[in-house]
Amino acid sequence: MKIKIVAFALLALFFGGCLPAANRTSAPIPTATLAPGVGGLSGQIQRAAQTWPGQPLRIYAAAYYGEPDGGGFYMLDPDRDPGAPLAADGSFTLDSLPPGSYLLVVGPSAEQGRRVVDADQQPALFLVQAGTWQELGTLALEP
Amino acid sequence: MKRVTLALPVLIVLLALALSGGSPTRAQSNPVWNSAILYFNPADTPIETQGCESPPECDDISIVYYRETGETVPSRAIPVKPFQSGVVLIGSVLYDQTFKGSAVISSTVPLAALFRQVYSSSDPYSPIVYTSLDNTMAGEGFFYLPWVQRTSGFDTEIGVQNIESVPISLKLHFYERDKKDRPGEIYTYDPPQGITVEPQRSYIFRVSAIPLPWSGSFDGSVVVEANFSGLPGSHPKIVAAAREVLVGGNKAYGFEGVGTGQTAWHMVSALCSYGPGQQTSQYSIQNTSLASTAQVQVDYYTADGTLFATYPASGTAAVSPGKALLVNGCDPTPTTQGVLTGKYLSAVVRSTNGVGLAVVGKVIGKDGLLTAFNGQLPPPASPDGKYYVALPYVEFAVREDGIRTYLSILNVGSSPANDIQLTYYGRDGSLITAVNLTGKPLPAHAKIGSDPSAARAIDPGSYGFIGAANIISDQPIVALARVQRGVSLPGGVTSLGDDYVGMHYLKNW
Repeated sequence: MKIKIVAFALLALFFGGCLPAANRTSAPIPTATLAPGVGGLSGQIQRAAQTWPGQPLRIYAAAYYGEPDGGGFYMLDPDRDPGAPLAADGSFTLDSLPPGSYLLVVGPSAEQGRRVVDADQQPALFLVQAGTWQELGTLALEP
Repeated sequence: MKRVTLALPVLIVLLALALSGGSPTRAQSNPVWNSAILYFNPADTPIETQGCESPPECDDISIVYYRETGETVPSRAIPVKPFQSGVVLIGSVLYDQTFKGSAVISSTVPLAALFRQVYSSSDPYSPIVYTSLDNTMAGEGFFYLPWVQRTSGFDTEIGVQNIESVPISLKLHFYERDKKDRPGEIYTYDPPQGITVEPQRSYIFRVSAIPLPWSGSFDGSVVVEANFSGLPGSHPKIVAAAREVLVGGNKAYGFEGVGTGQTAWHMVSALCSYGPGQQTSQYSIQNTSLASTAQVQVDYYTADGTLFATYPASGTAAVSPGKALLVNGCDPTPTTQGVLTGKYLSAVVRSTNGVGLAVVGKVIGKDGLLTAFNGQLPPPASPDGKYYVALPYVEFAVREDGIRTYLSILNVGSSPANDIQLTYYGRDGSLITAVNLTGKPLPAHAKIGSDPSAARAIDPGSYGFIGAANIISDQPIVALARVQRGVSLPGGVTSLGDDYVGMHYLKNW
């Protein structure tokens, strides 16, 4: 069993703004093949190529931690966390996501990215379950 | 278990001052990322091997999220192997505007970490960087910020973190810098409702929002005072950092505060109209005693370690309790033939009467460069007699408008250094190149530079170098990293950047 060294690296997460987020789930795709213990997401991002013309784009899955109805944070190590290239038509497949909640970020790099938003233009949360592949359909980025 | 216990002295403290989002020029919208923490595992071997199933990735870091109730939620662990480095981007989602969560980094390794302002290449503002703080650097009841401004140009944000397990209360003491015609005034910010900070949480002060008695501007120093809630005169442990942004502009920088005053600080950069950017350094030297006057002297050394100039020219400069003295890099008087202009110097800021000091330096260039860096202390030796310094973030883009990092290493010992090994590691922990900086011995007070390009750490045709650097020396050394980028902005601004100090660690595993 690992014993953590608790380091006091504080991230003051009391930021301005109110961003209600929604947990989204979609119908599973029964034909998809997944490794044991992980889930998958697929879909298509609208207008990504127009937002960053001529640039190769990636989609990143940032794990979300926090309150179901309060607030929280999401984090991403872009070099090591799940991500995938975005096709020219905006389609993507993320096929090795550990179970949990995620925000999706799209951009030429994670730091230059924009979040996937819901119909209310608020950052959307996606719940991933082990052994389940979800087709999310067409998704929009925040302006 | 033994290894973990030995690694405890390298606990880190990092404040994320990301309240207003990224750029000072950007609209105050909720940013995608609020913080970027860059980390480096300087351990040359796995520390936590018990139960490790995938060596060498036996260690990990994770973020522990603190709910408002105090309950903790650990994030997924990020495995790290020896010499690996990386960046963790963190953003927030709020359902409730009153929500105030916080998070703490947890690690099984002696992590070197720093905070970097999130930015994008399409939004050219200064890359703010400041380092984590060792918990031995925590102040007990007080923390000192040698340079705080509220002018028409700059606004300071101050972040204070409670690292105790019980709530504390805060107040800020503002010390105006002494003027030529009158002594600076003192003001204590202690609102009637009080400022309470829960355990592990931080509180962000925006100086422009504090009702200072002076109309308009403030330039001086701040003493943060903390007490256990309801217990005046108690001394809880706190840390603090600051960042300043140019109002309506692109310049910004961050620096750490000082927990305990010291009688000598080493300053890696001491400049007077140096280089094409005509860079000049300024030191704000704060007296950390709240009762006694400090007598201050600054000695300037050439890059080969020769004493070149002193400030003041004779005697010492008096600094009143809590206040700060501003010394410009062009102020000192050369002790030998020559002029200060164009010199690439270092300095030692000394208290000659034993009263503690805290120092923050800035480098200001006519090309737009504006950086901040802390004074440094000689590090303790590791059990093997060597001195170790980690630089968790070294980036060097081939293209001229990309981020470029330049390292300066200063011998702060009393003897020449005969063996200084600087190694650049890629983000995956791979050794890219190792450089011996002591082709000839580096005298005391002498400094030497390096960067990934000069060290041939860049593959032809690649983006450049992104990773970390590790320094091992036979003499006490300190290091300073300049992170800068080339830009083309109105007003002739061609360079933006910030400095951060290398982090010492004890190799005791």
